[in-house]
Amino acid sequence: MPQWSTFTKQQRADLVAWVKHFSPRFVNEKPGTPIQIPAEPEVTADRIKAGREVFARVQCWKCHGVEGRANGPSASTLQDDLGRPIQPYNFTDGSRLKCGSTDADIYRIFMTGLDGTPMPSFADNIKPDEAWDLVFYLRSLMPEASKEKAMAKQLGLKPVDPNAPAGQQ
Amino acid sequence: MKNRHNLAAFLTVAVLVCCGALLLNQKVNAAGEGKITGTVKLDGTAPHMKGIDMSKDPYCVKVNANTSPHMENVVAGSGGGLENVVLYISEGLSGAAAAPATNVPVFDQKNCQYTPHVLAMDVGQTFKVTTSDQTAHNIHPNPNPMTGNIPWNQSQPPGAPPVEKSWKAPEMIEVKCNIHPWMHGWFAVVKGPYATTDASGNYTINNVPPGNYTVTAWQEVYGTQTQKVTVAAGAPGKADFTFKAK
Repeated sequence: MPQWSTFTKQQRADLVAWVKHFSPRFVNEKPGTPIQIPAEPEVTADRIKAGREVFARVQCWKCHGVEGRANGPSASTLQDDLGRPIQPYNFTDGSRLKCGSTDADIYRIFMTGLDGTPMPSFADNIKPDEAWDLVFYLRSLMPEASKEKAMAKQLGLKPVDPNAPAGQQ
Repeated sequence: MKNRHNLAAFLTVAVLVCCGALLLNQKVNAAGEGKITGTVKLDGTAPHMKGIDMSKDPYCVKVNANTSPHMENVVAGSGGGLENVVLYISEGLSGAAAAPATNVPVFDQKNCQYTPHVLAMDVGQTFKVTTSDQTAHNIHPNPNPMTGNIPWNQSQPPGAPPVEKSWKAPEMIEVKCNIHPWMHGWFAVVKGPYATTDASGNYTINNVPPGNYTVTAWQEVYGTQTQKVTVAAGAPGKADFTFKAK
């Protein structure tokens, strides 16, 4: 799916209206309640460490892998809702983030999940403050230079250990 | 003279009142007591259910060390009874009888399989998904959104609280866990009273008001069968079904 930023505003509006006419769902279903994203706090070493604990606790690594390399134990059998093979996001290779690349976009995607894919909602399992911690930890896994990446390196943070007992990373 | 007439009148009224009360009681009891019972069997040899290789998750292997988990698409007992068949009333229900049941059925993730394999429920009935496992699951039902049932997908890491939901429309909804691809079950959403067969293939649908009905039996591989049945107070309807093994 390429980008179509050359459309005028009117063309975009017209196209959206046309796309919506393909399914009665756009008429029959109301949009869900948007999630509230609290103000982003400062990145700190403690928050990155806490984010790593969240990554271990809710077991992101099962699909995304302990380094975020999309090679977790369940990665190779993932299927989308149409039964087609699908890959989890690889945090380490600079691939484009599906739903936007700001910190808030990352926050939103693991809180809502991604329809049609194996990615579930973690809203009932991650508190809003912890969610920012996880965002910062995920940034430290990505290849771009960032405050998070530098801090994680300084801390000497190792990948999470899937075999460590709960709370003992 | 007058006293005897008064006594007679009083007695008549008393008897009438008592009879009326008895009749009313019977009517109320009958509405609650009506049931449909039966047995669902498989004619022929049940297909072999494959053993599950859970080695991708050492926790799942560990908790199944003393059992040998199998796929559960067809679960037939030694007497040929079919388990996990859902029975519901497809014709003849009206009004109050079709109100959703008020209990909260539970779908548990235990030892990396779903218990029960099929969870029957009413449209609008609240149900709970729980996890008893110390490994993360995600609970991912995949309804057809054209029915009005909207798909959802929620994680349940170890220690996660139950997920409470309900469905808007009758549908047999497949449920899976993306993390453990062998995990596969069903939310059987129906209208009105329902039952699920036990390990012997037996079922009882309770709370069926007297009347004439069509009962449908649904099994995930063999599909549906229907039967007409009559329920009267003190005389349950009886409907046995036999699915043919392919």
